[in-house]
Amino acid sequence: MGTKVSSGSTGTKYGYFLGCVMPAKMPWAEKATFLVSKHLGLDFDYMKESVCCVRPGVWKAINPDWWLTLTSQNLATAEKQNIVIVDSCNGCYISHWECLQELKEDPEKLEMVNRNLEKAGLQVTLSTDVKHFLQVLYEDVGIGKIKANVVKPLNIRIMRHIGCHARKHDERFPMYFDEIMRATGATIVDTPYDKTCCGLLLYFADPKTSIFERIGVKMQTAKELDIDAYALICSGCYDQFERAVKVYKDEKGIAFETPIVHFSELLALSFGYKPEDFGMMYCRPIPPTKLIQKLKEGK
Amino acid sequence: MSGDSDRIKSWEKLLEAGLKATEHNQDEEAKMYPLRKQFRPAAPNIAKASLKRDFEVGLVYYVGDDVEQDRALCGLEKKPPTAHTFKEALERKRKILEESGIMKELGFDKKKGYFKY
Amino acid sequence: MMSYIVAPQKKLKEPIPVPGTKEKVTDLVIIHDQTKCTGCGQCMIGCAYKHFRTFDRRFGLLYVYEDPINKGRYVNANCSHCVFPMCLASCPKEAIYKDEKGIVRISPLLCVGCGTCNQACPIGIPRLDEERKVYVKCDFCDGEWPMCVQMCSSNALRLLPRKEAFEYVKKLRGGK
Repeated sequence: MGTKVSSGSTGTKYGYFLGCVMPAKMPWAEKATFLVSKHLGLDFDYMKESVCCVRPGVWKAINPDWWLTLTSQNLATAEKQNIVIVDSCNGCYISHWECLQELKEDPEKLEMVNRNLEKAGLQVTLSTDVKHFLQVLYEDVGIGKIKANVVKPLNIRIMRHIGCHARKHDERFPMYFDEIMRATGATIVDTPYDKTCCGLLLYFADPKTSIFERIGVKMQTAKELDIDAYALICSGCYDQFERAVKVYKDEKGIAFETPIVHFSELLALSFGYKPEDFGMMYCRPIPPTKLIQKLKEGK
Repeated sequence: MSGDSDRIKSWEKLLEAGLKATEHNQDEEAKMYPLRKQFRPAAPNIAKASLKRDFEVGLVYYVGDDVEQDRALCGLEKKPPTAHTFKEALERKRKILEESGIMKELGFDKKKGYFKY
Repeated sequence: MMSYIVAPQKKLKEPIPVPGTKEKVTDLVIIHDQTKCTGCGQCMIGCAYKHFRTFDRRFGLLYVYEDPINKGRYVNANCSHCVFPMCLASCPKEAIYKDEKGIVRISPLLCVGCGTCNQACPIGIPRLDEERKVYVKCDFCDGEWPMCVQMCSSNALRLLPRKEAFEYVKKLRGGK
């Protein structure tokens, strides 16, 4: 295990919002995220009693007011626990962040939301904050400290998928992602499909495009370039990657071999943790056997 | 890519699950009442299955025995500290859904567990 | 990085001040930033649900598809609510009008579904609504904050006053 470089907590109490996909489909990412954040000395714990962020793609379309009401349940819970919500799923992040912004801007909406929440004994006072995991790592911890903690640089080639919602503000989050990934020693391979959506948002409406023309082309490119891993941060995107890979495997008979890994797994590996520490080999549609082998051999 | 060979069975299953969670399946009823005009309900059929899970569990995915096992393998608590464990959070969510009229407008009957249309 | 950012306009009901001038406009357009678009399709889904209560994106009143030449980039077509609309000029039943907010609308009561507007429009925006057999097009969500702009997951769609939009698009194209 790597040696810790100064604990230096930022003093903020972070509550990690798990969301729907992570606890059910990517326990390895959950474990790795906690390993990494504890390693970096953050005051990091679960956000307890959380419910679905309510997917903005569905609920905003159905009714923006309902979306505000349901999302603010999490904001109210976070306020009660006195934590800053940290999301690593872009969908959850944008849902919480936008909801908070909209309630700050519009007192009428805040009143409406509080009227609805009152019946469940909750209230939003807008005293909490919402942060993306990338933001916590890059802005609060700092790239220097991350670099200092890397004890086992990863000599691998990766392709990355950052996700649509992470591009909502500006080019900040994609830049954070790239910088942190480069700090682990991984080489990022650029392709024309890096920006393309994973297709999750389109899955309900147009499954063929969403699977074949989004994930299909991405995985095909990964295969052609013979990269070691496909890194992503958003659990929503992972859900779609997994679904598409399963459709290809079970229904079309095409097996892709590039493992889809979470950002914090690569970070944990570079910090000196072993794949067994966070169960990297379990519960995946594509087992990362080759990647683990390569890391062990240290090629 | 398009055509019948590109059918996506898992998507069709999701649609079927949505139709199963509907009390009045309009396609079925049209056979009995051919003059009745069909309409589009507030919750589209394809979204019903995940909306139903959301209303029943508080989150879109269940954590069953197999997931608990996988979590234990990765060195985590068997149940995540979300509404899966804290049932009072789910109760609060249901109350909000009920009291703000969302359930009623979506036509979801929480006792029977299906959408009216 | 693009530094030319105008705060999003949420309501069209009142005239909006043009930054840097005393002028106020009701004349707004939706523009699409190709460098930001990820092709998620949320705009079309949001539009389809708002107007037709379905998630089927073919019902949407704006169109974002993959660029056939540059793979991985997306092109868009949406109504610009032209200053001198060709669809309005061509309509034989005078069913198309420009309202006080600058929104070009098709009256479903007067439309006969002839399709002249589709032919006249330079980018063929008005489309036939198969159920009602009338032509439909973007109506800026009736003057509210348009759903497509609200739903855009990467902030590629923006709602700007026409003048600003023109400058913005010019910058996107490298000053041409």
